[in-house]
Amino acid sequence: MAKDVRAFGRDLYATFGTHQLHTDFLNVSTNEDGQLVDLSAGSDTYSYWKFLRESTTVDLECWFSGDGPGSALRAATDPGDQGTLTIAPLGTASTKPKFTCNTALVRNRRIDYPFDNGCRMRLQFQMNDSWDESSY
Amino acid sequence: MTFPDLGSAIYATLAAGTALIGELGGTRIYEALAPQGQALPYVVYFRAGGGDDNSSPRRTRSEQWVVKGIGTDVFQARRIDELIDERLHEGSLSITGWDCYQAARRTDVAYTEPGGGGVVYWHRGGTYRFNIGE
Repeated sequence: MAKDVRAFGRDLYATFGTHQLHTDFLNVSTNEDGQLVDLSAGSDTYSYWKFLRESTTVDLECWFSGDGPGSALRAATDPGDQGTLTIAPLGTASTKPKFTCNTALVRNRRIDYPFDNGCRMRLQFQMNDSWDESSY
Repeated sequence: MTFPDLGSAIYATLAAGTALIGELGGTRIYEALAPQGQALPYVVYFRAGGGDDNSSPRRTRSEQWVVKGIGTDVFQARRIDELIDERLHEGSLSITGWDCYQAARRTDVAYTEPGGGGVVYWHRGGTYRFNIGE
């Protein structure tokens, strides 16, 4: 259950298409990056920038299990695959915030196979549409 | 949530080792303490630490257990240690309600204990880490 005093990762709910991302996750990061253009003139003392557009990526790191959700998630996340991505940092109770992109692309997938630890899968999603905030 | 019964799983894994049981001369495998007056050699194992990983929503634990052979012959104690290792290192433990996804020897245990009448008890074994998940 979400605690009002502080958001906590354990409350996270996240999906890509029909696949739950939070089942065995280690970390999820959202990165809303702005693309800027330099409008500075040669004689300007300071730089002047104009905001052009936003480009959001979401990074997921999860345990990669062969017999559980890891394998199904891997099958659904070949680079280039796309789907609806939803991130609900405080869970899905009424009024809790919800972030959604209707067209999220799998940009990068990395799977680590360390000798002395469980295997981990890292995914990076590139938003190919707006990153919308609403609530449940 | 049912806490994992690793003691029973370790016992079952060791007891299924025919070479180990042959070396011991029977199923002389005891958790924490051997019965008073128990003939040597035998195996003693006990929990030495560990707990929840709390790294993801799936509940996983790392458990450390000391498993050692005790005897009055150092070579026999070492042989028992090797046979324990054959059963546990990279072994497969069956734990009710849990999966053991890694079993690995981490550190060695080796010391001597003086007994009455000039007898020396040789302890040889290791600390094993068991990574388990619900």
